[in-house]
Amino acid sequence: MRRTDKNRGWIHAVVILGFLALFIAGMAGWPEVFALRLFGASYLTVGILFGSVAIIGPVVFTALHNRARKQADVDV
Amino acid sequence: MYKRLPIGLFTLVPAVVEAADAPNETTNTVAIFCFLAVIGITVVITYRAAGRTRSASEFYVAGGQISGTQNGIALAGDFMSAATMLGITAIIFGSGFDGIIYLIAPSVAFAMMALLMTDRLRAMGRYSFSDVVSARLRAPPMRVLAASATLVSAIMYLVLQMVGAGALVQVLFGIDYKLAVILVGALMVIYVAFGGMLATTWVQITKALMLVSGILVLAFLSLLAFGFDLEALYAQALARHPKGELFVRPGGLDLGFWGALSLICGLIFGLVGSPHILMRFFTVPDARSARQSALVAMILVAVVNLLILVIIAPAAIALVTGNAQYLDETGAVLGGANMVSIHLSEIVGGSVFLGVMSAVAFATILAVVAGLTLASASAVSHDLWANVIRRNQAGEGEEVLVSRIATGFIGGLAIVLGIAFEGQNIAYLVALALTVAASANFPLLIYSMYWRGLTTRGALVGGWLGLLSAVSFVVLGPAVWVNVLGFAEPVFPVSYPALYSIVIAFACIWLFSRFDRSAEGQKDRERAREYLGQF
Repeated sequence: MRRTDKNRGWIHAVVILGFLALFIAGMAGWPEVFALRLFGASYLTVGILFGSVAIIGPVVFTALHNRARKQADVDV
Repeated sequence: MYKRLPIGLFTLVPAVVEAADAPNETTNTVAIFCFLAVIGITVVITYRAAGRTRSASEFYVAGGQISGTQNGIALAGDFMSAATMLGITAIIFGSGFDGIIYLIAPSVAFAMMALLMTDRLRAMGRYSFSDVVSARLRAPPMRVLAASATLVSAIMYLVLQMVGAGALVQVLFGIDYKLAVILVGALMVIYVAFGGMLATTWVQITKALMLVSGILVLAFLSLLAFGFDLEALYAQALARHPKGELFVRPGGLDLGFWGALSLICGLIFGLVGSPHILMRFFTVPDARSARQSALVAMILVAVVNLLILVIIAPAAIALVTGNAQYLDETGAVLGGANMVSIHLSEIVGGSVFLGVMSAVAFATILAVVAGLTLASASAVSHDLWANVIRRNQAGEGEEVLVSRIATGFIGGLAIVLGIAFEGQNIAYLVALALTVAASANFPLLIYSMYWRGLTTRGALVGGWLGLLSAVSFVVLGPAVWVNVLGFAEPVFPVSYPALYSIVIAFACIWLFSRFDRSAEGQKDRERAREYLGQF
């Protein structure tokens, strides 16, 4: 396995764990961890924004990953 | 045999029509028409697929010839069950913010599948996740474990779909809950027994497109009801909800940190370990198509989940809460909270749209139960019968026959359990079903695909302990011990036990593999180099 592939595996794992930590933080009743609450946004706003980012984030990340893999396959 | 299929099916239809003609129920002509149209379309699909399903590969994985995009739509269909459309809206309706845990989990789960699993699944398996976990370890006992885990998790998942279908048909046609459950059970047996994976895939594709379209229209009509003014929608939701502003704050499910962690781990790892979802990655020709499938599924699921979060659930709170037309004499929502999105569709779109959305929900449930039944039947026929009992001596025809017989038995069991669990919250039951998949299947898969130190002994001890602890915690917990069996207090007082059983499985697999000094353990480690060295 090439070093870049190994690094990519670790980056994926870290990103997924990051998403997981983000969700748990939000779910466990700590919306203040999100900067919006510190700036006085309502719980409703934070909830909708947080939920939307958390739902869309992994989709965007996976789309970029698939694109990179496709390009790598072409390069090889 | 498949030519007799429609005759058997249509003997069931008069029961529905007759029930709908009964004088004391909520009849809806459009709903009945849509309902019968869904059944008709799916039967035609099954009839056509049945003629093209002969070999075991065609029965289990449609010959591996489904395209990435088609498979992605079917994968989204496999995931978006009664829980997505009915249960999650119901959870947000009742408990507010915390319900979005259920909306977020699939995005992470599909990302994990696309990024970490698809390539290795394809390289190590053929039909199912059992192939993967038995590839580098001693096959017979591993297949028994994997098949047991598949059967338990898939049947638990089947039960909740039955609960949703029963409630839906009961509200729609006023027919008895038990009859509704029997009807759904009979249909799912027909789809799977006759059409195999090809029929199941096309039923899923049809249903997924219907569901996404239905959700888009429901969101549009909900916004239209408020003049496209989201602020007005949210203001009315806040004003109507019994908890007021508290419903948008975390804590509605009263989970606490460990409870939230347990629920989210159970949902995410359970989805990743769901046999009927993993099976989909074998129906495409190559790994690239498998990754594309995961992405297409993620996009569709994300669109539906976003619409539920931002528009549909708040609109349900704003328009169904306190609406006397949809409350029974005790003040509860007619048909239970699971029906709020169906009631919302009638409020914003009238009886025609109610009929359409009910048919969509029914199609959703039918398709998911078909996928689950297929996964369960393959565990019996491919893992237990062909590989363990017949020691690879069974012909393909025999294997497919056993799978069809198993489908009938599994359908019967799902009907009995579906009746026993009447009235339970669907999304809650999802969490429990996924607990089993997360505790037994997921640890085995991850270790099989990534850890060279895994041995047969470690996998068996940890896998069985994960499975048994998950089932024990669920049975002894509030959902079964109190709500179904009627005891006053649960023996294991944790509503979401996934975290405990997942930790037990991971720790025991590692521990018993790490200290396995047997000759077989050494062979397992050597074989791991052959399988994992290619990545």
